[in-house]
Amino acid sequence: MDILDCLDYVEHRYELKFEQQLILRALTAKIPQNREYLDKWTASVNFDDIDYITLKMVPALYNTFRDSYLDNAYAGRMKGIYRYFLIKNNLIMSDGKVIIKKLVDAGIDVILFKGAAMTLAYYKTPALRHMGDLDVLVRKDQLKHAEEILLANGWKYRYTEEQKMTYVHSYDYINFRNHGFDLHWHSLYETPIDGIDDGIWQRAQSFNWDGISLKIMSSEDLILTSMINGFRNFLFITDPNSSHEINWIYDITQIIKSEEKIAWEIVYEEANNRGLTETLFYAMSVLRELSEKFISTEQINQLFQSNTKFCRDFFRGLISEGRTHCLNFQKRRQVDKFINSTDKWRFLWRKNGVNSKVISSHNKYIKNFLNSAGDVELIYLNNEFIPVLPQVFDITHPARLGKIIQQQHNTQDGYLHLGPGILALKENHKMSDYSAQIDVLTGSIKDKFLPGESITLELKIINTSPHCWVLDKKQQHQIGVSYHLLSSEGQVILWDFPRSYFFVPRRGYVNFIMPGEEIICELPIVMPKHTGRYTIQLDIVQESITWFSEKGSQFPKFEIEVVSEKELVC
Amino acid sequence: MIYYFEINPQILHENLEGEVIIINLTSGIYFSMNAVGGYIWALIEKKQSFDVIIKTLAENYQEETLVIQKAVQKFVDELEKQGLITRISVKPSEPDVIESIIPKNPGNFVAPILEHYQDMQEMLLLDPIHDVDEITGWPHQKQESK
Repeated sequence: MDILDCLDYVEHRYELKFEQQLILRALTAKIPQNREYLDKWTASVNFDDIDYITLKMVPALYNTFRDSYLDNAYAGRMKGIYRYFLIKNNLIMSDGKVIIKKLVDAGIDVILFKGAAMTLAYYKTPALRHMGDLDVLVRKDQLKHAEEILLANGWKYRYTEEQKMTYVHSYDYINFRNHGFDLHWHSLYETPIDGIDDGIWQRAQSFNWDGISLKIMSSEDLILTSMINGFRNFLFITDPNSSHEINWIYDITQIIKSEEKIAWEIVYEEANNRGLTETLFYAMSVLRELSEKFISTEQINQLFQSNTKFCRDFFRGLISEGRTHCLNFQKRRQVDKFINSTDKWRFLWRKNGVNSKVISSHNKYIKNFLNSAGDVELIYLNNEFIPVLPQVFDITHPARLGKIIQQQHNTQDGYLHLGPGILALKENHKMSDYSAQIDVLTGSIKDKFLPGESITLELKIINTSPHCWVLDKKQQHQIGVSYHLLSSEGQVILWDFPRSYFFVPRRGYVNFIMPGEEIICELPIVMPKHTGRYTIQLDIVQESITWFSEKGSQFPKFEIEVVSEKELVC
Repeated sequence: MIYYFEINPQILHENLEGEVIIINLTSGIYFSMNAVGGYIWALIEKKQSFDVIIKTLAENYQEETLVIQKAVQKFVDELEKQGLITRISVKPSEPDVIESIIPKNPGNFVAPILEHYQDMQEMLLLDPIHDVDEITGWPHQKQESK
């Protein structure tokens, strides 16, 4: 099954802003189109308002165009930003080099990856690649020795010892200049499994860094780790003004440009072994959308073709989430036939999908009809939504709205039909009341768990506030349930964990939870890796704005103990 | 006596459209220099002797050789004092070609100047978009934010 041929487009949450697309195209398109993109970017941004993610790309923009006379309005400050990162990143690399030499001299095997590896292998100057720290991978049995060397040379662990207990793949160290050194014993946060990095160690390439003999990750492994790290960060964006990271995309384009050939099958196999196939698919789709010269439809189809399970799960996911609008209509029957194993899945076009995390809800919908430019032409608004309308919308034409309500209210289908120019979704989604209730329906919270054991709770969430919770695909203020990990004394060990969002995606819809209404959803919880007593505290978040608990809501918490297998048996 | 120069290996240096940026990675001190300073640095990079540096500048500028010599002497003394170069008497391996270091019609000779910025940590705290001069950029602060 050629998965991309069955799709009109790949719908993913990794939406790049228009300005970000312009930057990437300015950096990667051929001459003279790249200059056109730069000019469009210059015209479309207010330089004073660019975010840090964009700022990190400015040195690459400056470097790309300086030889052809960078004469745009921001040239002076762009050059200054280049200087800034040139110096900042060089200082980080310089400090990192000193300690790496000590590690290597002590017989510790070191693989350099992420920013430092990209700089040495592809960018040649640290100015072009932002880095907050140096990332190295060492073997697990050499970790303790590596830490001793760091401590003996003036580095210290960045966080508390309690927090260190919860880290399962790397430890963050800093020196007196606050430069970071990320000491990994597993390459990826998602797969802290012994032996999982064996392929990375085998493929790593020898490199001489000013007389230090070490290893750098292979191009394929750099691509995979860039994709997984790039996609992971977007789940935890908390700054309402920030966007998705794009430097990972640029990193990969530079690797592809520099290498004669990329063994994509290695990237695929490594992702598959780690259970990260879906993330890889979406990351490759983002790259393909930038340009097929980086990875083509054919290459992606070929890689995923033989993975029947992934393709079936992918299409079933589209159905259960009600996202079949992205399927190619002509291929619908082919897909239906491909996934048909039981009658349960033969409902490609059914209206009410079941989300694997949101089991049922009384989500209401406002349907927007969009024209080809993406503007709202018509809104269908359910009559019962009228009382809470001012909570969600700015009423831009109150007189007209009043007239329409008079004329259309209590029509047969129970909806108002509103044209453009009457309502605008509020930008500010802060609420004055964050009351909510969480009931645990099923799922076992035992007393004792094994390290890393995972459970799934079925929860009922009730909106007990007078506010309508607005859940819009495009907005960054998603509302969802999650949990915090505390010590048995109630001190925070780790605050942020993955969320189960309440949003049930339907293209062209904004959905919302009215006051008094409820959602039933699942929340996976993973126990800490280290034995001890902990408290799991459930909570609800409105991303970028607040946790509901911080506004006074109280939610269930559970005292648990993580024990070894031996203790559990006894 | 003919002498040459060796650039300190702890130095990072880069030429940005004629502006030479130098940073001592050990001390964290950042240096920049004016155009003439940049040409001298470029000649040092190309392993030219002190005499050749003087001669090259004298050929391109309408200035007395003695004036140039004194200015260059003062400049290389400062570079050495700041630990950026070391004076050596041994001729390095074959010097590089030095064509087109100095552009045609470079204007009047201005004595080379080395500027240094001691407090790198403080400079790096400057917002490179909002706290800086819009024409020259970081690390040159906006006048009102100093």
